[in-house]
Amino acid sequence: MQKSDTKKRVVLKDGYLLEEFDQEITVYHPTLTTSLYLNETGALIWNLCDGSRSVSEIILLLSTHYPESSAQIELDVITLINRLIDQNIAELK
Amino acid sequence: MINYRISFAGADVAVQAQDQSSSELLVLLFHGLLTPESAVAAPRLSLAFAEGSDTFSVFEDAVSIFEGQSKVQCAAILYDRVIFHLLDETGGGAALHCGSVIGEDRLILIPGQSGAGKSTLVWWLTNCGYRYLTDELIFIDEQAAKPIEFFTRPVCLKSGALPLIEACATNVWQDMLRDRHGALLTPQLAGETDDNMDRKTKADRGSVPPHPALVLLPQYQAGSPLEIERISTARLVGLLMQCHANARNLEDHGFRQIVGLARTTPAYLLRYDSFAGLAEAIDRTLTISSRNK
Repeated sequence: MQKSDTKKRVVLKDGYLLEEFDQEITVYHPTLTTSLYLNETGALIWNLCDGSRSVSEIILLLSTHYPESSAQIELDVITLINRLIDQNIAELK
Repeated sequence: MINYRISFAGADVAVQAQDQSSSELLVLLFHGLLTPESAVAAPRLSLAFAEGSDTFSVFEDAVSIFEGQSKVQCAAILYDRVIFHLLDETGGGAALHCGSVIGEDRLILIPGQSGAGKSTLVWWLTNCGYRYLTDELIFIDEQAAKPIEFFTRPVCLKSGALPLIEACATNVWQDMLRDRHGALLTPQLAGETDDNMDRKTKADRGSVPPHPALVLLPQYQAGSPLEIERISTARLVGLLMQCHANARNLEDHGFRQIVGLARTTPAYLLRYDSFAGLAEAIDRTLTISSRNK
């Protein structure tokens, strides 16, 4: 992800199946036959990917709530969103 | 020519033995799943043995897919293709690459992709008194009268596992086939032999609990200490979907069935690099998981 990409909105693509378990999520994409397990942090980021927020807005929102972990949050958000893009579950617009 | 039908989970595949040696090999490999048939118009798979060259040949839809002297390799090809065609026909339930044993009257599932160590772990647990059901495949259909079906066959161990099993003296298993490519073994019950009891009878012997009590995901790691780690339901679903063998046949790829299984069954990752202490650790896990249920 380029620096300029962080201004783009994260849009989840259609066609995946999702199940929530306590505070975790499993996502399965039937067309791509890939599954993705999201722990509590991953699930939090996933739920903020509602199509209206940019990558930097998601980082800012989480960093405001968890200021003590802001450096880790930025890394976690970018890593997860890169993974979603790689697995064709999300795109940046 | 001898014709057979191999059946599993409501699906069938027609196979043909072109001679007596081929027929004997098919019976050895698929005993409990095999039914003799009258003439089959177009067998999906055909097996032939050439005495002069001591060679087996496998044909799929009349195209040669294997020719060689190793019965172990021939068995691997036959299992692969038979399972592929069976799964192509199955519907309504989820097939998982999964071993299974029964311990203390509780059903244990051991899912894993090829090479994860399912067969070796199943072999070892059977050595330790667990009852063998399968080392390869299960079919789950919660709506069916029999919610789980087991693809019962000899345990198939690859060549890499041979030094391990040769180092363990055991009279639990009987060799069926063995060469440098691997071994096929069947459990030998005390006082009973394959002459008076077939594998299906062995698998059916005693009741099989309708629902699993435990899922164990083996990870063989050289140098790793023995570790058993409880994993979350969400993580289990992700891992089980990787072992799902007939997803293509199901509307939602069986996702909801897998979720249902994961929600009701405690699961543990099992890291190990030797059998030392393994069965005892699994015994304890089984006890803890049933206590916490």
